[in-house]
Amino acid sequence: MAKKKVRTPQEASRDPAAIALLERALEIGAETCFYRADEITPCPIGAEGLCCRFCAMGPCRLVGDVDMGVCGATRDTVVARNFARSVAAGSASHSDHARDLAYTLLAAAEGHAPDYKIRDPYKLYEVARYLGIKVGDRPINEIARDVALAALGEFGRIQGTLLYLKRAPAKRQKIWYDLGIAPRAIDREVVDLLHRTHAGNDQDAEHLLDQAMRCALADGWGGSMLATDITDILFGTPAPVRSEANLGVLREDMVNVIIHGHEPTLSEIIVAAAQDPEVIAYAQSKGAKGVNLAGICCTANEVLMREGIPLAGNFLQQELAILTGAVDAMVVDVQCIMEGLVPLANRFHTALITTSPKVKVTGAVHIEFDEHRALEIAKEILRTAIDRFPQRGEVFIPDIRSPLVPGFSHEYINYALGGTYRGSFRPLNDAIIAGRIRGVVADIGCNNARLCHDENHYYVVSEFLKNDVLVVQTGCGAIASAKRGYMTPEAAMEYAGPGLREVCEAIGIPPVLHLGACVDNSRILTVLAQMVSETGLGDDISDIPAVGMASEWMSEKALAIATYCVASGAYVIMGGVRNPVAGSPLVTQLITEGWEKKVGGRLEFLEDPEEIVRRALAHIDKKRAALGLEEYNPAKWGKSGDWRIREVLELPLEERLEAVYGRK
Amino acid sequence: MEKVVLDVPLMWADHHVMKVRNALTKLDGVEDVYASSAWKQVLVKYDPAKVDRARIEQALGQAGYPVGQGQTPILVEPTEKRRDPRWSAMSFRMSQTYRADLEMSGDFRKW
Amino acid sequence: MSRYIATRAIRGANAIVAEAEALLQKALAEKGPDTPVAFTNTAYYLPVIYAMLSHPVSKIGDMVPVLEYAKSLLHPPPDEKWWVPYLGETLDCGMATLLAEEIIEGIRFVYGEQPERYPGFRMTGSASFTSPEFETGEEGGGYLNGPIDDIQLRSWGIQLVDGRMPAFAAIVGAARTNRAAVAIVRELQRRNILVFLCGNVNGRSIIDQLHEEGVEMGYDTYIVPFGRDTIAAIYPLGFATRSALTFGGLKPGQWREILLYNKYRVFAFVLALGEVDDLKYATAAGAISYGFPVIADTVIPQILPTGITRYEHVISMPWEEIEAETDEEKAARLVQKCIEVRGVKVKITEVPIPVPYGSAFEGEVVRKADMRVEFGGRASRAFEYLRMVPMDQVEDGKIEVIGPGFEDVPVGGAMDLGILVEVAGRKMQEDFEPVLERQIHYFINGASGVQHIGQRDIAWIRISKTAAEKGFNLRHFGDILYTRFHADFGAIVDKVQVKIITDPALHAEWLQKAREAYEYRNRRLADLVDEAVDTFYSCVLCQSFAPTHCCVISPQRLGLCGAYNWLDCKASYEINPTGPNQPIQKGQCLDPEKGYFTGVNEYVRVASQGKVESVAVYSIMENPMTACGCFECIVMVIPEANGVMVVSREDPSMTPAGMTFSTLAGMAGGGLQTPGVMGVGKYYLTSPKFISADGGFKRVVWMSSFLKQTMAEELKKVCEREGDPDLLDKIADETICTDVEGLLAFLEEKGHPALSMPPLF
Repeated sequence: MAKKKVRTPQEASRDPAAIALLERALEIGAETCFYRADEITPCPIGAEGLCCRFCAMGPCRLVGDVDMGVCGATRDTVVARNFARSVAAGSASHSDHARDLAYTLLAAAEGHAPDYKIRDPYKLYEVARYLGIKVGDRPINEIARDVALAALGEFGRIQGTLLYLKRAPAKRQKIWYDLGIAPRAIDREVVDLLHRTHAGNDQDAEHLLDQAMRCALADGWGGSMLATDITDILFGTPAPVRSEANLGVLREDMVNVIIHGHEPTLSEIIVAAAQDPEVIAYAQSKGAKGVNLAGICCTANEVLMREGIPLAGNFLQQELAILTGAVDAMVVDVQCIMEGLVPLANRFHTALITTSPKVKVTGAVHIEFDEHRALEIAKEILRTAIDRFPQRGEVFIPDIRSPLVPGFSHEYINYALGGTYRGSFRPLNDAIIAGRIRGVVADIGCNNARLCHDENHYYVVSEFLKNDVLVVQTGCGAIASAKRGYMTPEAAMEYAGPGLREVCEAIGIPPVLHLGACVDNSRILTVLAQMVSETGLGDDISDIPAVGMASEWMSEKALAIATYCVASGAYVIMGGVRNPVAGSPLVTQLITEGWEKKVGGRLEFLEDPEEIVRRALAHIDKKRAALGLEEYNPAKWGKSGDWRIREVLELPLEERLEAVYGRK
Repeated sequence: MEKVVLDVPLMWADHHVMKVRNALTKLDGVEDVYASSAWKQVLVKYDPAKVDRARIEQALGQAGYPVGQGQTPILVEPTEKRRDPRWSAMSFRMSQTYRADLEMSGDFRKW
Repeated sequence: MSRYIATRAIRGANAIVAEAEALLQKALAEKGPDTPVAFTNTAYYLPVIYAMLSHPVSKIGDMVPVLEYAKSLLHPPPDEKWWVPYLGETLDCGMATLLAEEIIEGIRFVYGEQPERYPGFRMTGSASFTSPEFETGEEGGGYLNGPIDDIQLRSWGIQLVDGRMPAFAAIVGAARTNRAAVAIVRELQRRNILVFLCGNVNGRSIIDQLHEEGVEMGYDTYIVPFGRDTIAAIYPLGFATRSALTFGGLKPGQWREILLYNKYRVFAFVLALGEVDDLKYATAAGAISYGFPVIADTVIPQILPTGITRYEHVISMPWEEIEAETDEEKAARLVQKCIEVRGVKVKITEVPIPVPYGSAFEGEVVRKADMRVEFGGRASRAFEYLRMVPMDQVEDGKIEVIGPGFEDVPVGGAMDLGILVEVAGRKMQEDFEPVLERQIHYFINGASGVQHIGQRDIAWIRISKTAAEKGFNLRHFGDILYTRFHADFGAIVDKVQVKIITDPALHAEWLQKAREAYEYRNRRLADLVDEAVDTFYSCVLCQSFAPTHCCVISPQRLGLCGAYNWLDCKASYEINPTGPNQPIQKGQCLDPEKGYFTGVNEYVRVASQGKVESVAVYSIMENPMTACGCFECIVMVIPEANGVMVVSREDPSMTPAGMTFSTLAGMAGGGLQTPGVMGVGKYYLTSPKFISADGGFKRVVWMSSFLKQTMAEELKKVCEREGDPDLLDKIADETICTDVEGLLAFLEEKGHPALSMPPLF
């Protein structure tokens, strides 16, 4: 292979722990995705969406003079089809995740999964209300069973449209119905899209993209939202908790088990099993003090939000975690699991354990998970991990970790803004209307090995904070900010502009809110819908001064999320790598101006983070102006706070008694 | 005249101030008392010939406000990870704007 | 919140709940769970607890679940570093604090520790009559007020509604100096803001400060001293809570609505004077849930973002840093800030006289001993007469004193006085003369140190020594009237001139002319019957409080608050054509007896937001008119007696319906149509159209003695009109009976006509 310029660790990541381990990788000659990204040139044709490989007459590379495939498919059709396929795959991933949870809820309700129970009955009642399930004074398991069945029904709904659509603002629903993109059944929209993108079907870019929106909406307001809700029912609606992030959370003296992937079903049980005296005793018998759990990717976010389990790192740190030599087992379920883990794990003592019936990785240990015997399997997994502990070789754990306060479910945010008696989004809306908060940015999504790890996340978040933009995050973007220390309440004082700082100090929140895993982007939809109905910020999501972005995106799920956010009215920026629809100016135009006209949101792919920030702020200011809100002016704010009283507290009593009345 | 500042952790509200002042002002030799519930401290000015610090502390102790002792009870403790234990018991999960919020905020004080 | 405040508020909440628990355990042990608990004269039990939890506390044992609930609202205080959010938690703790404080005050009542004993203290004016049991003791005093009773709440209703009383201020603590205390309170009074006092700093309360400075405290001066600790701050919050139940038509248990009602409709704020301790922060957190902001005169952390309250949550204005020379100016700035932060709309008319001026002084009493001079009463004659004259005969702003001033009258003496107000205006009508003339009473009473009673030729005015010393003289009556008529009635009055007449000859001459005018008006009024007009008027003034209530005011049925009759409404419509009083075209009369009119029905349907379909103007049995909460009396059917009873809001006693006024009011108010129950103005009793569809005044079988006494003459005429001159004696009252059996026996004995009237049902 031709030798490319390989990035130094400092060029490959902005995270000091990652840099330390990349140096370690160089030292011991281990290969990681960072290296491979430098080695492999991305296929320039595929990168622009111009490779059509939907039938055996091709693959057709629509480059140079070729502007049509064998079948006559135009560049526009091919690019749109490729994009739509990605959206279908992304939607399928989130929604299938939701399905498994619904089955778990059903099993729990029917008593077939004794290790699960309804941890949050109040959330169950709320969800039942949306799904039209009678609550009354029926036994909780009966309600749960009906909720699970109703949720499962949404996947194959025979008639009508998804029940959760009514959670959107009325105006938004009307747009969907008028355009004919209100999703019907979750599975149906994915299948429909796969069908259309088969050779010789839908060959109109705009029509294809419409269905892509419908499919994505079935994810956002369907699969993802159900996944979030059912997870809350089973494992509790998150509320703030303390935790820590980065590889420094690994322990030399304990069995380190990394849970990685996306589903909480197994990991929640592993959390319980790790506290089991029997398991702890077994660990101790092997010379460890106990079992230390840490997470990577969205499984991490799920157990972080609900149990406060620390974060080991984000997507690009999965290999690096193994490089510490301190990971005794990495337990994976679904999504975002690199096959490159196998050779690395083999170099160390680490057991890579696949658990999902859907995911096997050649060379990994497979212990298949079954929710009917959850605890038993979890213990078996932990025993496997513990058995590896004595085989540990040299350990290299960078002593780097940051505190954070995650746990911001939309329900908690509602509570935080007024308590039991007055909880509402009024204070948030007020803050935006007044201009203390300039707008809201959701920076979500992945890491991408082609970019400098975490760099875009750090940059955009810090810029937004300076500009009094409240940042909400999920997924690996959230983990980036967690590691950077943006998710501590103290960060408001350090990084936020004066208005945002006042708001954070009033509520006691970090300036960057961790909303959960990537399925929990549905929480952002709920928050936006509630901000609209709270009034004062227009009557549709598209009126709110808010921007969504995935500044280091890589997965198809990110495209699905982006598309449902746009179809819900948001301006979405995908950052970092090249525009995957660049091959068709028409498609590029359709997803920007075209979609803006249709649904009020637009999708843009921007490589330059400074440009991302510029455009996001411009959009926020444009929406503020359209709402007739005051121009953003940070000089007006920042007069709240505890600083003054602290000066008084320094004084001896007699002087203090005078000082409280102020300086004469 | 001498003065002394004493910490009185249990004097956390102004109805305690009344009792503390009551206990001290009736001591012979106490000339001035400033009982501050905000800072939980008492400033006592007294004539050392008539009364001493020990007597003052004793009076406070007898009134139920021992100097430097006790603290206000906290009836609820957070979990090890500082999560509020009340959350899981709170009987509501609001994910919609409450209708009354909008109705009540209508045009108020018309005239 | 700020973390500093959150920490202290949460700590304070935990502490006060623990204290309430200890006290409750003690009370349970010493007094037992069945010992009754009650605040004075209220139908709302312990009002905050009742409203929030829909849990009536009537005995000690009832408090146990409340305390458990309060505990469940507690949270741990935030950490010094790496804390988890605290705003929602702090507000919950604030609510727990209020519940605990109300429990404590309830128990203090049981032990006789509330209202708080305060030797040497005396409330002014009529305050004590609502709480007769506390009137004994030293000179009818010796106690602070304790909770405000329902009667006073209701009688303030219309003023709270129409903006005459734009807000209330709960002052907690003590001002920097006595002078500052007086200055702050005077500033509030000047704006007619109701002032509630509680709390102390280092044992000194603002109540002590005002008491030392001789400031009159009581309902009539708009200053209510609740108690000298912060726990008494539960009383103003109970007042706010009950206003939502009384005027807003909200039901106990509708906690969110009740709090929002307060946020949007009750303009209250907390003024924390002096250092702020844990319990004050905790109580303030409770107040913030009501949408009441906190303004402090010391350094405390500010919470400026908005949302729970309409504007800023917590403001710090350290007293020494207020840019002003004198305490008075500082007080003005501070109060100005409070008003901004609460968004209170205050209209003040600057009246150029040497004494303070405002509605808060309306109730001031000038005692004989403090009096410089009086006009009217026993020793002299005073009258006031307002008339409309042609435009060219009025010189706007001309104020003449014709005759001697009171300089030569000995101190405590009397002299004759005539006040002649002449107005002109393109929209002025003869009918408005009495409407405007009646305002003279309110206008003159607003001057501090001046007392005005009565009207027409039975007016009685006193000027205090203090006012006279400050230079108040006869000319100032003119200044007051000129300024106020222009300010309040500028839409119908273009020019005003005032003649103050003390010259004996001229006095006699004008008195005669005035009497002729009164007589003429009386005849005009008698002719003004419902059938003679084709327009009624609506009054939706109270919709800012009771959003679905609408009064229909006809010449023969005045508003239920007693403050607005048909002529008032007509004038009000002229003054403000888009205001609360709108003409209602009667339209087709569907039923002259019951009083159904197409126009009225249509209007009411819209005005009540569809809640009321139709109204029978003259019936209590069928689609009676709704009520807000500020009615003077409640009329209620007593089926056993085939008649109705009339309970006045001044009457705290039991009635034959088995309920007191306060409880009945819950059924009558809130904009609901309840056949058989109706809130009315007391002068409606004298109207020939008083429940005329159901038999009229002869149906009245029971009536609060207060009404019988205060309206004796008017009612006597009614009895004569009804052809039964002794009817009044056949009507029972609370001194005769408070149960149905007693009532029936009395009616039988007296041969009350209701017994032989056609059955009501």
